[in-house]
Amino acid sequence: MKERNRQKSQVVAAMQLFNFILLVLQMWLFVGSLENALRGDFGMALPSAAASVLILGVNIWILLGVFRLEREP
Amino acid sequence: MHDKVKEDFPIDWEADQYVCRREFLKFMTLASGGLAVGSVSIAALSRLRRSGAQPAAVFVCTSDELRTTGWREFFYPGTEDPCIVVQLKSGKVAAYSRRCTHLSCPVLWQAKNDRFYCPCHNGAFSAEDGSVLQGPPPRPLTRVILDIRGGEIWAVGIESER
Ligand code: FES
Repeated sequence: MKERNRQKSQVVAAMQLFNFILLVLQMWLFVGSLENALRGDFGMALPSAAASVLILGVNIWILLGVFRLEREP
Repeated sequence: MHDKVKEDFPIDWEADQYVCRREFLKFMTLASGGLAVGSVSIAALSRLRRSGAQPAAVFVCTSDELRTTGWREFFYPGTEDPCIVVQLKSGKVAAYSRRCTHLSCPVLWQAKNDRFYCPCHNGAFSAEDGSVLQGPPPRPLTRVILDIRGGEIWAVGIESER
């Protein structure tokens, strides 16, 4: 059981790392589009919003994966 | 004694770390949601801006008045938005927002050079098209669209970003 827990913990750590990388990317997109918008250039707003929503989807999927992992024996 | 406590209250550090990681993952997903909402709001704002109609026309001055002074200040589209209309050496009439695109100091008209000068950080803009001639401003001045109606100058819109 202990071994199983250790494995689970490692899997969650890997997911967390991936999630973190995506979050940094999302922050970069947000700051970029905000800066451009304040400068009056909205060209980047729509693509970055689409990418951001996509990343959110992936992040939620990862979180659900963790919940799924928990339900496993 | 110490061992007895450990026995009675065993701590499974792996399980503990697992819970911490899971909670942190939840928090990061929440932050990701916040950023997505922010990005979508910016995109929605951009849509609104693009589809928004031009503000109502505002009377600036008559052509005769402009000819005597060479320039005139007015406020457009709101009463807090200073603009300037000038008559260039070529006779052309042009109007721009007075807000310097660097840090929003009001620009000054320099008729002899046909340019706008920003005294805050030595910025300058061409009166022909508002483009940056010198200094730190990152963008051209915002141009105001004019309509000359029988000797009267009206501000009728703001030129979208160039
Ligand atoms: S505010 Fe105009 S140059 Fe800095």
